[in-house]
Amino acid sequence: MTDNVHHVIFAINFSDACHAAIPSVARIVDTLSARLTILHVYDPRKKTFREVDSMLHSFFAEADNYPHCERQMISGPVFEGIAEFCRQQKNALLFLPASDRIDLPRPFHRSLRSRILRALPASMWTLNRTQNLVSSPGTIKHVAAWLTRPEEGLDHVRQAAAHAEMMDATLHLLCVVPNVNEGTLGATMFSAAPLGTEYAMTWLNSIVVRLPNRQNVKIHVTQGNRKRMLGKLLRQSQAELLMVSRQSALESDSFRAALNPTFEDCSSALICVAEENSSLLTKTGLGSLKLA
Amino acid sequence: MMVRDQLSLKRLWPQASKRLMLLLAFDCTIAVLYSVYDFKFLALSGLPLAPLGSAITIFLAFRTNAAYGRWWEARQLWGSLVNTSRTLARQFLTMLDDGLEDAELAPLGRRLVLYQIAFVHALRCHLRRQNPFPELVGVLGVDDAELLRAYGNVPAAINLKIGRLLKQARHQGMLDSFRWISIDENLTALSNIQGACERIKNTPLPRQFDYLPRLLVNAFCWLVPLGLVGELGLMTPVASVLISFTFIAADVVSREIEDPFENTIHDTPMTSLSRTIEKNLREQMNLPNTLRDVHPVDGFVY
Repeated sequence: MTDNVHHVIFAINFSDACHAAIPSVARIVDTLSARLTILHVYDPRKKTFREVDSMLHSFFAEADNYPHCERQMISGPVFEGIAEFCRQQKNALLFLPASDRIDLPRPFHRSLRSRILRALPASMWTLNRTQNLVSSPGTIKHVAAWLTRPEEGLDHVRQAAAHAEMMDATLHLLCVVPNVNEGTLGATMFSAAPLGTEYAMTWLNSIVVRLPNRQNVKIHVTQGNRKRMLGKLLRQSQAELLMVSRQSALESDSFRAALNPTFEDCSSALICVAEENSSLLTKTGLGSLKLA
Repeated sequence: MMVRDQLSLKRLWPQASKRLMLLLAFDCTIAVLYSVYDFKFLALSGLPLAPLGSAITIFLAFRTNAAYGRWWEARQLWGSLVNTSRTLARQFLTMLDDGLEDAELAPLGRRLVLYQIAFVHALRCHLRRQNPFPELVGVLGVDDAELLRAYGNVPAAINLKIGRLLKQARHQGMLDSFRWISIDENLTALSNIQGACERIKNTPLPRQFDYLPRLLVNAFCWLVPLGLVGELGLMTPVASVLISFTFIAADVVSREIEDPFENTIHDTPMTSLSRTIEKNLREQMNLPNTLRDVHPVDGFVY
């Protein structure tokens, strides 16, 4: 833990959602003993530097007392600003909450979260609108990893395992096998994803035996609609943190430029893990985990 | 806490939109059925909308008053926390006989004031269910902050710690009984403030006050188009939605302020108040003032 550089970048736009996410940021900063950067990208045509500076220092003002906290202002387009800043940071975890609810149709909306996730090789941590943001201030006791198919890799399981080990938390491996329908056979041409719960159990068990702390791992497998069943599994497991692969987070239909709709109603904090990034992973964890 | 004059519709809309859109669809259906398809029985001209509206207004006013009462009590409690903190800091810095000429340099006095600052931050975090330790590390240092991790109620633990330090000072002859009693009264005031805040946080507005007005507002909104369609015809949705919006907005606004410690934009501005306390107390200790004032962000003070 101490061997790694830990850095949380909290990208804000002063929205209600960002304000509501502050307890979660405080919790993760304390958990990881991380350095915190509060980042705001502004449009100089709409606001002056002085205005933005005042707002930035008044938002999450308590972070001034944190041992390692800095505030960064960048002028220009939001996506490019965040992406450029994050590219310069090593082992950083970007925290980007969902935007505020507006309850109006947004036909041409392109999710900033999905654009950044596509563009950056870094892990991203996010909260959904539906999440109960009033979390307990203590440490995380249940960490979950979401598995859909072998092709997505196991980096996120590694990170979840390392995180659970570090926090002395229980690791839950979640898998939902989709219902068999006419399209299922077609899907098997592109994926080795298990099509039955028994196969899924076998697959997850084969992963568990290679984990260092296998006594503290629980497997949850069910069949049905992924979005609906994920909520059920998260309630069952009481997971407060869900780690998903970047590939899985970006999986969506052709007409959406947003995160995977499966996670829309996810009640846990979500970490989309990049393949090669290991900002949450200890060196010990990396060494002891050698998954296929 | 909102400090700007106008409440932006974009903040009200997400909470009222579903009800309003549903009502608009219903109003349009009634208007079309009545005016185009000649369903004359839909017009309930004799519907006593005015007395019903008045009765709901009384319920809503009662509810809004109760919600505002909670919000204002929370603000008063934090106001008294500001005063008590300043008083305690003065007492810590001037009432301890530690043999030093400059009382503000007394290490125990300073330590006690830092604990007082930590208490304020810990209470805010406790009420918002936020992890206080990154802040406490900044204020107290790693070692003292780590000792507090063993406690579930961190502000109460800090209060106890202050009491223990004072007891130690008394044993060392730095504090006589009269001054001890005087300081202890203020420590009790801190406990009372914390208890009152926890009472507001943990006791919701009676659910009957919440449920009944909402039910009655919904019933009224569904009846409005039936009462208006005979007079207004196809223009019914316009008037009906406006009337419904008035009642729904009153319902939503009172709902927003009923929980002042829920970490929303309508909270008591605890971050700003704790910053004020910290700045004041650091000034009293002659520490360099590096903290900036907290200004409204987009019309809201946090």
